Amino acid sequence: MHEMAIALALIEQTETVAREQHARAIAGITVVVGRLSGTDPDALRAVFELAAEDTLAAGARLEVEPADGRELYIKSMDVDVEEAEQGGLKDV
Amino acid sequence: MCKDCGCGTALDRAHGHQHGHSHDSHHAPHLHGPHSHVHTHPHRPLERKTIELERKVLADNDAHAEANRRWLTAQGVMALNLISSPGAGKTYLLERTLERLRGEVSCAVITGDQCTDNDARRLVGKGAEVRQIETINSCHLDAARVGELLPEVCGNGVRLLFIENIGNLVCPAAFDLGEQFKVALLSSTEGEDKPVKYPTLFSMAPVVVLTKMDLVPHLDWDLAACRRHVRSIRPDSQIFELSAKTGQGMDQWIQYLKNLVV
Repeated sequence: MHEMAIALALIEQTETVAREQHARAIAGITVVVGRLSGTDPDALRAVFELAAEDTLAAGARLEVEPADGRELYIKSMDVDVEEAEQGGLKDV
Repeated sequence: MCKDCGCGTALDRAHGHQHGHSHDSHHAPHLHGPHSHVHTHPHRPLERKTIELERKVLADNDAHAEANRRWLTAQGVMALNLISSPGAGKTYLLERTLERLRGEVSCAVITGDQCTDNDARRLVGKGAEVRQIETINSCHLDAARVGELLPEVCGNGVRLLFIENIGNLVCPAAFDLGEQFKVALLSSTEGEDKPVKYPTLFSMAPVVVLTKMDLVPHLDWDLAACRRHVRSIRPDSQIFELSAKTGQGMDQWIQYLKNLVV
């Protein structure tokens, strides 16, 4: 059961990118998990939520796309960023 | 998350601001804590965007592993990552191997277990530098941890480094440590179909050592079937069949190791 280590590595990487993009939150992450990657998708989903606590990925949706080989990579992520300044401040 | 202002749980935790919105109806279904009616920062609407990453999840470990590999290559050290289930005989094989190589090939060992330094105690005094890693809660060794130990174990002209991984056929296969290659061990007391049950490791290990061959006469264990299973996962596997206890097959194993470092 090394899925926690996988989940933590996943969050560390996506958080770094999200910060570079000045994102306020990570809304979703899509990972590709191959059958020979040694990683169990269900176990990964199970620990992801816990690993994401108190990070930018808290509450993020985790999508796991299956593959046939040793693939284990982050395909993409959805982030929430503030709209550009020229859009004008919108008070509520 | 609220679609209009993006003030969902994730964001609250991420930047900890206090919400002071007017009590619009759109906020009724969820609770934001104390409503102070004070904005702590100007609020711009959020837009969602997708970032294509295409990055390995374990890129950080892989980078450490690559650094380890470069360092080992520069030092002229051949590193083998030994992986098996618990009790397959990794430590015993290493004990006998270190004794046989003593005085001929300078060796070092990094051995991992969840707890205790029992294995390191068994391996010291055989002419090799030995370090134990206790992983406590982790089921595998990682490249950063191994990298920290390399300079201290691989001094003094070490040519051959054995990294004895945590006894586990699944997780250690996913973590490159910077070794030249993985060696999978499988004992005769395990099922001969282990290679097809745990194909990840056996597909990554060019060398497979079948251990405890002295027990085969007492077991319903089919050596030919085991070889077949190994090769069905990786046709070019080099298979050693030995007993570290009786010495059967050890000559070929020792000669193979010597040839790696000449």
